[in-house]
Amino acid sequence: MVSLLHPGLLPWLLAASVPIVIHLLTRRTRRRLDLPTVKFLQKAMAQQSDIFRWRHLLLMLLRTLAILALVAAFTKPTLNSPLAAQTNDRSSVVLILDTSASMGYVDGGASTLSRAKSDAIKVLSSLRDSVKVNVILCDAHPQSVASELTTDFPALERSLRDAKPSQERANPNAAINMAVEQLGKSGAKSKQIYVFSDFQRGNWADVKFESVPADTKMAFVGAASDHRANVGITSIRLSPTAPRIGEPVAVECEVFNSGDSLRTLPVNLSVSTGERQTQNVSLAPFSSATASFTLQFDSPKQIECVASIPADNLPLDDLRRVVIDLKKTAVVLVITDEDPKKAPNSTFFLTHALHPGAAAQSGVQIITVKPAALNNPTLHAADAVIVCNAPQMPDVQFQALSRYASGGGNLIWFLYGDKIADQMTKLGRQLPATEPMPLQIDHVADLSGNGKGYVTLAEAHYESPLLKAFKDPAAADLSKIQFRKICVTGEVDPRAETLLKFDDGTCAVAHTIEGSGNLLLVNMSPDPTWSDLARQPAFLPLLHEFLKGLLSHNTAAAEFVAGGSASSTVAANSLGQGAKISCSGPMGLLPVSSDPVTGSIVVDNVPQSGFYHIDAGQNQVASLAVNIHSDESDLRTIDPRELETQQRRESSYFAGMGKADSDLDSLSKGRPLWQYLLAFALLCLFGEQAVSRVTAKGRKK
Amino acid sequence: MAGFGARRQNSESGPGRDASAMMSSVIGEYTSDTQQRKYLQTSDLRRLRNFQFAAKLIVEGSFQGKHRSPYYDYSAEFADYRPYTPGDEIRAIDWRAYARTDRFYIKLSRKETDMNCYLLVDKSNSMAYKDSGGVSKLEYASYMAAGLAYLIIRQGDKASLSLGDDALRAYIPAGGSQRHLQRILIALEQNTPGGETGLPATLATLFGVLKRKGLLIVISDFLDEPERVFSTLNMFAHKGFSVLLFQVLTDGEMFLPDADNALFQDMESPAFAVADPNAIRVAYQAELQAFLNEISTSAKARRMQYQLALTSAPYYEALEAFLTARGRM
Repeated sequence: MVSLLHPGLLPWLLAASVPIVIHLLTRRTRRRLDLPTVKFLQKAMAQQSDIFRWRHLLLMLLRTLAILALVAAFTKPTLNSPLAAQTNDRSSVVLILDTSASMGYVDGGASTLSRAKSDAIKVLSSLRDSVKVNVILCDAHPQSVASELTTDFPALERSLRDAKPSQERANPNAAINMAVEQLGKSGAKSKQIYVFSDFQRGNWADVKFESVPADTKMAFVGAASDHRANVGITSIRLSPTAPRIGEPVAVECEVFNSGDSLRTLPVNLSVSTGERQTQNVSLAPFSSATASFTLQFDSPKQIECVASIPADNLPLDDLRRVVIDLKKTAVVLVITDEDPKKAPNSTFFLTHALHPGAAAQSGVQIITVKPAALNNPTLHAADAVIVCNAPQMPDVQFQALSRYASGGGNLIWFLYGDKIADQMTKLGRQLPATEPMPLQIDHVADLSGNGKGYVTLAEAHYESPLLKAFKDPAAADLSKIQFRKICVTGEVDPRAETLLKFDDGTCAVAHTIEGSGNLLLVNMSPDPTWSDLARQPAFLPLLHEFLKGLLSHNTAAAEFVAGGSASSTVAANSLGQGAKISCSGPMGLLPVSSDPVTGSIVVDNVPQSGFYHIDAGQNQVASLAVNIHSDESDLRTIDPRELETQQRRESSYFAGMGKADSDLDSLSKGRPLWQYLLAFALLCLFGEQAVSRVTAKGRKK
Repeated sequence: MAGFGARRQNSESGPGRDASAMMSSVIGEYTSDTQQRKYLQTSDLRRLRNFQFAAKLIVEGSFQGKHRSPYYDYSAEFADYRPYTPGDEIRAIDWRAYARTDRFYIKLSRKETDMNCYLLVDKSNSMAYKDSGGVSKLEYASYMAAGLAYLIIRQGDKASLSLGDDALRAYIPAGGSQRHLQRILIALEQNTPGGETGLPATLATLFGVLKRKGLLIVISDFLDEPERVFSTLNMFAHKGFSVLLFQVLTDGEMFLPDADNALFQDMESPAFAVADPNAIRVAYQAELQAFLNEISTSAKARRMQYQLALTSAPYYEALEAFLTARGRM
């Protein structure tokens, strides 16, 4: 749609008829001349191009167009953008401003956010005063500036000016849904959503527009500069995740280069104990490298580590924090129906093998519990859970154990007992469909009456962390153990790992990862009627290696990001009776919820990266490391057109993306056309001159 | 074209004894009505007094003239010696040669004779074309024909005049008297343009009429099919005629009139063309030049002399250029 600034000049368009009139008059006054050589004239005309034949018509057309374009240029027409054309009194507009961490990227002295703010203010000021508008600041928890659409432009502009980059990841889906909801409530005829963002691929690739009605126009205004290069620490991992005192712990820092050039830089690790280490990493374009630091501690406490790289244009991701929670002992929960103190039963041998007595420095704390008495606090306080001959286990506990394993726990199940086949079936039902039950038990076989009367271990997967200690036969000879009763199993699921096999081919130990935890099925029992395992020297190291291997297994540890929640589980007794639980972080005290029974402590929202300390009264009981989301380090952008193509939305408009501001002007204000018309008029005049010269070059001199 | 009339009326004074004598005799025949004559006025005679028309061929003449004859005779112009044979006249023996060589030789001399010049003037409608303020092509051709007839008769040769368009319309046999010149001039004055250009037919008719070979001078715009025209001219060349072609065109034909946009009507057919001369000029000139080149090349290939004459230049200048070029050949 075109609007005119000076429509009063339109009558001058009649001047375009002058060339037409001249043309017609010229036609009428054509002279008649005799010429004996007409045949040569006809031949010449036949050989000439159409431009000569239609020269006068072409000249008239060019002159007419030139006059039309000149007059039209003086009327100062403006081609309204579809968005600008629709902003009438019944229009509603929501401006979504991305305030995620990546918007803090500084380039050329200005941050991406400041560019986006400038664009947003420009659009805001271009809207009519009667248009209802709101601004949504989009981070992990998008918030609208006003509770509903408003015409209070000054307040909205202030909020835009005051917006600062958060340390959170953007949640575009939530922001768009919020905008759609507000526009829906307004009942406006024309609805528009402007999005001002760097359109970081990590945040925007999965954005869905299903919730946006077809009558809502969307405009995407990119604020990112064309070439943004950034290096950031995207993850920091511990191996083992829960190290024990004296145990070496590897701190692995992954550094990502989102630029298109090779980078070599130092990675520093600062430990709260005062230790500092440095390592150089080389980073190919758009790739990551890992710097690994080895630490060892001899006292049970929480150690705070900070990995850092030299500051760049996005300083937020140049630091990454982790807390090493050193434990003196591993808590092992043994679930059994047997009496562990009444020998000889399997539980007795098991518990004594794990923790022979108070004098022994086993590093293991044993808690024995009956299946019926099992509760969640007890379960979640355990580093590992061993189930051994628990035929009385209620069905509900299978679900609890399954959740425990999937949630990052280590579950060891000795396939022993009268109802072991049923129990495995029940456990399998509780596991997620995507996670495998390593094997199914067919029946329990008593081998004492057959052949040699026992089976021995014949095959082992020594590369597994759980068995690598037995790679050297001198350490312990597993093949000497005689098993008189075993569970005959079906085929092991290919997704599970068979660690040990009996000489008859039956699986002896199978391991699988369930969610973020471990499930280890041990087809053996220390019960003397089943095997001579308890009497073998390999028994004790075998159990401890299983435990150690599972506890050091690189399961995904909970990582807290700014804008999300953070939690920790402490020993229930450490919270104390009536002690005030508080959380202090970079922004001061934060509300915290705790459960004295389970020992769980939850901070609902940690808005900034840094260390957060949980105090129970005067005592610090936990330390939490909060970092910005790793996706914020990858500054590669996505063109919103790609999103639109995927969603097949038609009513969207694009501007910016590092280009000139005029794009945004044309999007919001419309494109002035006078200069194009002027250029067109000049072009017509040049064309007229060119045609005249070309066709008159044979003019008689 | 400007000044053409002025030149005609410009009476130059200046003696030229031989020419004056001849001129006096020529003029004397029709002094009484000179003022009424259109062509060959006194001023023209003065301009032409020094012109000499040279025949480039051996002429089969009957009368004593100034042109070489194919026959040997006793005259002043020595040609060759030959041994005396019985029967030769004794008086023909060159006694001086006998004194030197002690042998009888007969001295041969070239016989000189007169020449017939046949002037053919194209009187078709296209010859009526003229530029504004100028003379028509027919008038220009008539001036040339009159001048040539005068020159021919003045030097003792005989001139013939033929007028034709698509057929031979008038024929005046060759004659060398002043009265004959008068007849030619009158015929030229009474001539009016008409009919389509049809040189081949006219030439073919004329070929049958002419019994004695001589010099054929065709004055026309030659706006005909060159192939057919030269096919007919070939007959004259083969018979021993010397052929001279004067192509008369105007500036308007050469460069097109200077108008913005015009309807050009052909003068001999209903054909017409609407064109802007300024836009079409280059292409038109290329076409016309190709045509002129064809005429010129064809003439040269047949050893015919060709001269393009524009009516914008005085006819005697064209004649002078033609005669000068002819003298060099």
